[in-house]
Order: sequence, then structure tokens, then C-alpha cells
Amino acid sequence: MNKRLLTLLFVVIAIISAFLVLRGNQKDKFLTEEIYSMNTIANIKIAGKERKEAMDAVIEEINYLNGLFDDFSEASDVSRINKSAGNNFEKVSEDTIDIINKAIDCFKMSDGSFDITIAPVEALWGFKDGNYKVPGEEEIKDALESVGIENIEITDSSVKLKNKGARIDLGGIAKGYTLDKIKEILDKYEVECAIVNLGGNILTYKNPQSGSWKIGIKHPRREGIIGEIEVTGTKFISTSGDYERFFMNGDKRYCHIINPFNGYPSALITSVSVISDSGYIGDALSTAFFVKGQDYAFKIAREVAVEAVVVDSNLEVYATEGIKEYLKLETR
Amino acid sequence: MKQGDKLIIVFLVIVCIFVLFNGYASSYMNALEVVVNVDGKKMYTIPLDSDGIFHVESKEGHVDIEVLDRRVHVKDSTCKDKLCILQGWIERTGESIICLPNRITLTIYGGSNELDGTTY
Repeated sequence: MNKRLLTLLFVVIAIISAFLVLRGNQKDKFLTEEIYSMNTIANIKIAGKERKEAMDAVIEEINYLNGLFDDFSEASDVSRINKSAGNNFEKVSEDTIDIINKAIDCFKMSDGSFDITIAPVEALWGFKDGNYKVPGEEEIKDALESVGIENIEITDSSVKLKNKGARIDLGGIAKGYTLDKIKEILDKYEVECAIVNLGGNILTYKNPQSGSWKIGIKHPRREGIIGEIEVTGTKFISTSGDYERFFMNGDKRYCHIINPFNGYPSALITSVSVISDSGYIGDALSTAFFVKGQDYAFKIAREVAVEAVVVDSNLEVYATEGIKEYLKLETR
Repeated sequence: MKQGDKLIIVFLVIVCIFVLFNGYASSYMNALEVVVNVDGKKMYTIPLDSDGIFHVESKEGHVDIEVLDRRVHVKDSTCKDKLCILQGWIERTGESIICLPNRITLTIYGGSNELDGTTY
């Protein structure tokens, strides 16, 4: 047999073996867990040597932060702050101080369209207890009296709401904030790659072997997705839509995202997804963009360097420049 | 070229075709299946080509899921909000239906073009 052929034989066998080994590895390298917390479901996939340790730490962190922010649990920091509104300062954890400060930053960044003090108006529409109703104009006006970020007083370790009727709701920022904390854990354990889906808010961490992550964007009006985006590296993807929590009154749809400027559910667009380098900013901005609509969304997206995909009320999809070429629309 | 050399070349070509086809086949022709998780634990795996209605129990309640024409949906549920039923049919790899109150999830696996996740 001639030498060249023998070399060729070895090369081909080596390539085939490598191919098979890589394929074999890729299938089972992820450790996957599905847990219920933060009034939603979290799906966590982690690859890497210390994936078990990282997974335990991630789950612990989610449950810990849920214990602080969950306004359905009486013992949580948020519930205690709300209960003491108009009275006294409540001593809270560092993370609660941190997230409230960040929520105030997002309020400023979004010209007031993301506001955690909107909670009394949400409750009025029934989005807290599920007893949906369209309130009267006067009722809305009254509830808006208690809304305002200036109601929040913060010291190093405690928080107080000045107005007796004031309430806060961290629902529009808590998941994004938690994903930021999860990213820190993944850094610490030096995991190879991971993807965490916390109730629709996604953290992609580094790259899988395929080189990128394929993320579907839920179709606002029917089953399945309206499009998919290809994301590379560590990113946070948050979506706000009118289909998650809503009720119909006649033909009119009322969704859970309330415009803090007038106290009515927002209805300018049907959904907006934000792709960013920060979990809490992406989460809060998706709410703000939903409130203010596409033009505002694209303007702020440019200013603070995030990408956005908007689905308008006619179900047309628009994307900012940086994500356009990575967006593929569903054709069916 | 000797007879043996030719044999080796033929052998290599066959191996290459086999490996490539195998890779192609496993990623594009894997049968789709729906995985049912109850409270975060995998309970059932149902091939998407086996039509029928399946009853799934959890501690919180139960759902009836229907597989038909390579699609799956929640036909009935004991939950209050019925969002799982409203989510309609899913058929594509990576898509899922979540019934939060009952802590039951359906996710489609297999096939090609798998999504890594869906934002909502």
C-alpha cells in the first residue's frame, strides 16, 4: 500500500472519530432542572465541570430572592415595606435596597414609564387578585394619587413609603435582577455555557457548541412563535406583552402593564423584546417600551445600547439595526 | 494503484457516506416527542405521532393533553385561569406549554431546528 494512501486513511479516521466524539458529548453535557419559584417556572441548563455545584447555587439564589421580593408572601421584604406604608421604616436585606435603587435608576432612564410604585393601580384593575374589572375614572384618579417614585425613602438598610396608600411591585424587574445574580454565580463556577429561562426572561451564558443560541419570540395572538433570534454569547432577553395576564371586556383587551401616566393598561403595541447586557435593565426597559411604544423604544434602545424587537398592534415585526440580521420571522 | 488501495478508497467513501448520513439523519429525522414534566420531574414521554388523549395528574390538579396530527395541546385542565388551554397547539421542537397552577409542562424535543428557549 502506498504511504500517501495510508496517511489519508489515518486522517479520515481521525476526523470521523473527532466528529463522533463531539456529537456524543454535545447531547448530554447539560444538566437541566425545572423549578417553580417567583410565581413562574424556571428552566436551567448548565454545562461544565462544576455544573452540579453551580446548579445548586443558582436554585438557592432564585429561592432566596423570591423570599425577599414576593409580594404574595407576608414575610417578604416587599410585603413588609408595603404594610408599613405611611408609617415606619422597615429593615430589609442588601439585595432589596439594591434592587429598589436600580428600579429608581430605570425610572429615570425611561422618563418615568417604568415605575414600581404603580402597584395600587394594578390592584384596582384586579391584576393582583385576579378579580378583573374596569374601574371608574375617579377611582383611577384616586389610585394614581398614591403613585410616585418620590414616595420611596431609602437609608443604608431600610426602606419606607411616605404615602399611606403607596405600594411597590418588583414584578417588572425582579426576574431580570435575579438573572444578573445568576450570571455572577455562573462566573464564579466558571461554567462552560448555560441557558436560564426564568418565566420568559432568558439569560444566555457564553456559547453552546453550535456557536449561538436560538431564542423564539412568543406569538402574541396564537400558539407558537412569531420569530426567532440568534444570540451569541452572554445576553439577557426580556419580553413584555399584552397576552400574559389580561382580560377582555367586550372586544377590548386590558393587559397587566399599566401606563403610569394615565393609570390605564397600555395598548400601543402587542409585545416587545429587549436584548441587553444587563438583566435588570432589559427587564425594566421591556416594560417601559411596552408602555411608550415603538418610536420611543427605538430611540432609547439606541441611547442605552440595547436591541429591541417590537410586534405592533397589526402583528408587524420591527427590529433595531443591531439585531435585524439575526431575526428570522416564522413563515407559517 | 493496487487492488488493495482501491478497496481502501471504496471503504473510506462508504464510511464517510455512512457517518454523514447518520449525522444528518439523527438531527433531521429524529422522531419528535413531547416530554411531560410534573413539578419539575420528567413523568412521560409521548411520541408526537401517537394520537390520543393522555391524562396527567399532579399534586395540584390534572390536565388532559391531546396529541393529534403531530401536534399537542391541553384539552382540559383543573386550573383556574385555563391559560394552558388558551396556549393552543404546539408542534415545533423547543416549544412548550406551561400550566403554572398545576405545575405541569409539555415540551417538544427531537428533530431539527431546536429552539434553545422562548421569551414571553
